[in-house]
Amino acid sequence: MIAHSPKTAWTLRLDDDGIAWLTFDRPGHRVNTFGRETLDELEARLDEVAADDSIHTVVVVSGKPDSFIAGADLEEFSLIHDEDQARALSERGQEVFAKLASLSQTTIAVIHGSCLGGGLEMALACDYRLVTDHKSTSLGLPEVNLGIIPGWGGTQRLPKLIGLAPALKIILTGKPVSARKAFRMGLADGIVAEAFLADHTRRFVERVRTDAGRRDVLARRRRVRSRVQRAIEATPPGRALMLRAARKNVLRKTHGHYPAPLEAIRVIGETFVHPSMRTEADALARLACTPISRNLVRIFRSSQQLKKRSAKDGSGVRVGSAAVVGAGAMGGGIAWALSNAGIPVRLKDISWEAVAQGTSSAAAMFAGKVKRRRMTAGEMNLAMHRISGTVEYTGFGHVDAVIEAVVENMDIKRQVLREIERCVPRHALIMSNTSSLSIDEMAAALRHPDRFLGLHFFNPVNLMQLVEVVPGEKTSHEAVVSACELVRSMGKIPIVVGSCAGFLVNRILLPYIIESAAMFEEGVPVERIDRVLVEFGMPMGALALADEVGLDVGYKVAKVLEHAYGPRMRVPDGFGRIVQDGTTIGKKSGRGFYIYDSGNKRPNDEARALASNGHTAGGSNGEAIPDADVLDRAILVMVNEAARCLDEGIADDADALDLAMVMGTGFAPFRGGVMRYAQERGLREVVERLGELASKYGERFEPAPLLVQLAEGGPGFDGSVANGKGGERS
Amino acid sequence: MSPVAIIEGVRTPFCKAGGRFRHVAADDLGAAVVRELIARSDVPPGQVDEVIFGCVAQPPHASNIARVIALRAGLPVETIAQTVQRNCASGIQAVTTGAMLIEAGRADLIVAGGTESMSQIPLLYGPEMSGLLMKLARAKTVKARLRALMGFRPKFLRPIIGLQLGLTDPVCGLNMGQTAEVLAREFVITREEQDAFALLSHERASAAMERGDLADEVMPLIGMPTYDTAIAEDDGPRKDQSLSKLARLRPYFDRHAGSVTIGNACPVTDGAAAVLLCSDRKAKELGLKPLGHVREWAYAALAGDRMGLGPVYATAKLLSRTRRTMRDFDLIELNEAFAAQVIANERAFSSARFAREHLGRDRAMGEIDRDTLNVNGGAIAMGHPVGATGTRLILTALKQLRRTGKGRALATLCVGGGQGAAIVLEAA
Repeated sequence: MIAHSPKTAWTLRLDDDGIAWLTFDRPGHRVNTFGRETLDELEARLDEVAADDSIHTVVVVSGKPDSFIAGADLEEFSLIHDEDQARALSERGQEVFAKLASLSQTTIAVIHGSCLGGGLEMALACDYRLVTDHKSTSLGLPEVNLGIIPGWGGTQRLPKLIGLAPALKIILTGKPVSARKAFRMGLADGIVAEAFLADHTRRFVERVRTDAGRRDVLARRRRVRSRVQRAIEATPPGRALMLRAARKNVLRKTHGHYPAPLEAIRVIGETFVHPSMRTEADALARLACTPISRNLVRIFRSSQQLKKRSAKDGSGVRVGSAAVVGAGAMGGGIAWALSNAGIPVRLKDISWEAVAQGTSSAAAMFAGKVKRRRMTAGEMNLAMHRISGTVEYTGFGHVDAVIEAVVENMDIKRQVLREIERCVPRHALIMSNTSSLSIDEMAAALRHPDRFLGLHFFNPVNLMQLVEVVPGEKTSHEAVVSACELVRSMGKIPIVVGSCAGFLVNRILLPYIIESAAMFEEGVPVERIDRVLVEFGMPMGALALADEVGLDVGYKVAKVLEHAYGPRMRVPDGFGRIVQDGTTIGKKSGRGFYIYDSGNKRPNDEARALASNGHTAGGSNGEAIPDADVLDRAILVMVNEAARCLDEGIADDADALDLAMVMGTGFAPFRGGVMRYAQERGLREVVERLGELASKYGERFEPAPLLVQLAEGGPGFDGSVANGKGGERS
Repeated sequence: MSPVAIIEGVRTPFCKAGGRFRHVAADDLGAAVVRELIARSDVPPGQVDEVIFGCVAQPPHASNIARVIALRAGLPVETIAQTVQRNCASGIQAVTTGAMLIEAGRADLIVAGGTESMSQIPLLYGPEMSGLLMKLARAKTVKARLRALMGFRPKFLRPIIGLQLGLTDPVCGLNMGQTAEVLAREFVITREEQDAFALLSHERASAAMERGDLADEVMPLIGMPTYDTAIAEDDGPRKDQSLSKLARLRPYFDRHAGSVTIGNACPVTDGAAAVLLCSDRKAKELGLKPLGHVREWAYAALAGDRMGLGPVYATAKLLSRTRRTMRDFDLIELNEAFAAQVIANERAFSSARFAREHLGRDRAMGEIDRDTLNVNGGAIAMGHPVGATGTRLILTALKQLRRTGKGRALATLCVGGGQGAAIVLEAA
């Protein structure tokens, strides 16, 4: 028996059957991750195993509840500052896992809970993998989502084990697979029940210690692979074809902004026949030091922090049942999100037709989940039972929270909020899903404004993870904590922002759309504006986005912002002329900046004519505006507004702001967000460029005071030196 | 004994089988009413002691449907639940079983109701087909399997219609419509009398709907599979029903010499209803204002081929046990399984001879005044989801008492297989 102090992450326990149980339980951490220290420790344990003849089998398990190994320690990873360090870390992992792979004893990873990144790479270095059939068990290599590739042998071992095509799928999408799927594809060799983990594992050990049993298990790995794919992979042209198709697919999805998946394809292609850990380590080292990876890691970490952070002081209301008032697209979506989180919800509107509409939009969202096999039809039935309609506030007497999502009209909202307050218990939170109205003005309608705040969801609610939590002047701390917890329980990310017109995300996003509309009015073709922005890395062009949201909605919000912020947010007259008669209001009406028919879109010449007020030949003027100006006008106007938000304390810090823009608008994640982009471009250059734009296109580009101040030598948004071009940290 | 209050009640619209609710299972209908009942009564769901539901044809996917309903309705997993079955009286049985528990001090707050999806009563394979499938499952070798398959005959696939089976008394061998024909002959009830009563039912139900009275007890239901339409009203009552239209229908159960048509019988229907029962003590504690109280009740039995007379037998038993007379009732809800059956009851109630010969009473039970009978129409118009109707009668009676400021009502119905149920309700 070898005993270790509980302070260590890896413990080894030899049982009477000659099986050594190697348990990973990193002290002081919620989940297991690999860093220098845990790798060193693992190596030491492996050396002990190698030297011990009485051990015939090593079983790797996790000591954490419902979690195996989450991957590499991202904190450590983000401290890497050059390629050599990155390569060293990669090589270290490769070395330790090679030791595991070369043990003379039988090695088995028994995976219960999520097994990601480095965790799966370690499991791949074992002879066998067993998975528990628990719903928390999932296996994946999400490295590409962080701008890197698996660097601890994942690119080498996975294609060998399950075949080229399935391996590419796992590595390129970064999406984890379930236990059952892992077993079906041969990634796992058996399924065990967690309650009988030791027992079932022992039985498996007995099986693979016999020649026949071992042959069986290995034969199964071959058998589960498609014969056609095996045949294709066996030939060089077949492999080339497969890799080319994968590459094409990646380029179509990423527009070439993300090098990691392409590198993964290259590394796998080059090393499939002649394995080379070296090639993998080199590629990882290069990728790890790109700003793209740094930005993706940063965004990921701040989203994890916001998601995981729980109410520290324990105060606040735990929402066990809720109500939504207003069953439009947003109300229906919010009801869906609540029900999806297991919270029963009363959905109230003024007519049953409206309630039915909101209910059916929630049903459609659940049906989508059923179709994608993310939920069963039975679960959908229960989830839909959790949503019940009313036109009279019945059932509000016992709810813990109400979210108001009626039409954006101050008088109506105030009226509705008053009605809500009359029907709900004193402890209930009252929230408004407004996108542009003043929280304080609404709060004034309530007798107890301390429990009231804004809760701004983004459309479509089932896909958008971000929710802005907007406390008013009188909102209590408890209410804010409770609202954040509620948002987290819905699987979404709450970000607390200051109360101002447009809050954080729309206040920064709208100038971008308005500026794009202004350029359109000046004669820049809609496709050119959108192409430049997509090439920059936005998920879609500003004007396509405006069409998607609805021009009427966008115009209304833009007007609110113009009213609040004055000339710098002036809505171009052309925009008003386009939406005027209500027929050209975006995708939902079939026409906006584009015309939509049968799934295609083409520029709308009428919108062009309306915008330029009749004289159609605005083109000459548009041509005079170079692409570089188009890009900077749209993007730097956001940078400028974002700086103002930071200055006014609308967002806590640049990290939170960047995360909000990435999650809320899809702002190019690899650029790390609005502020990060400015930082990387160099604040001095940004200020200069804004100055140029101001003199050329108008005062609205006048750089924000905070930008000027920081450009003149203060610390950057993240505390680093402002003008280290390329985003190098000091 | 603790008095049993009814706090609130609600039902789904009643929709003809195979129609708007054909995709909504009996447990879904039940769950929707229970959730709405809890919301309308404003009680915390955790306070409910038990859920008791009646259901005649429990769907195969939801045995002990009451428990399935409780959970789908969002009641805590700790909520116990039982399903009761007394055929058409199941919805009354749920209420009386609940009332007994409260009277005995074993429960304080009970959800009682009934539900039925007659659309979804399954088709069954006959014993021949089941036998073949069983043989096939047992066969170990290919040869044995083939031999089992050789036994197949196409007629094995002819389904047995579960609904039809359920509506037939296996002891006397008559289906429900045929028992109505028996009563039409015993009491010499003409086709015209039956049609006139059917018309009255439609007129009264339509009028009540127009006045908005039924909206008091009906919750709009947004149903699967698409959840895009709120069904708010019963679809049975016909505003344009007329004697001439009724006269055109052919007798359905006895084509040659019969008088019962689908026009003067109740349609098969989907629907659910529930009420919240509460001890007076608990009602006070929770600050609940009752709609009314459950008083006496009685069940009685008779020959299956005359099952339609259940109301008069059950009511006679109820009166003989209490000091009540028919004059005590301001309102009567007598379920309309068939017009002939309602009329037969009217005649039996008022007949001294019937009382002597069948009920062991010296005098007639007493006239039933049509002005107090089914004033908002009945099952002939709005339908008869068999498990739910009993609860619906209680709910309708209590709401009508409240509406008119009257004091006491009798709800009674006939039960397939030869029983009757009667229950006395008082306004709070």
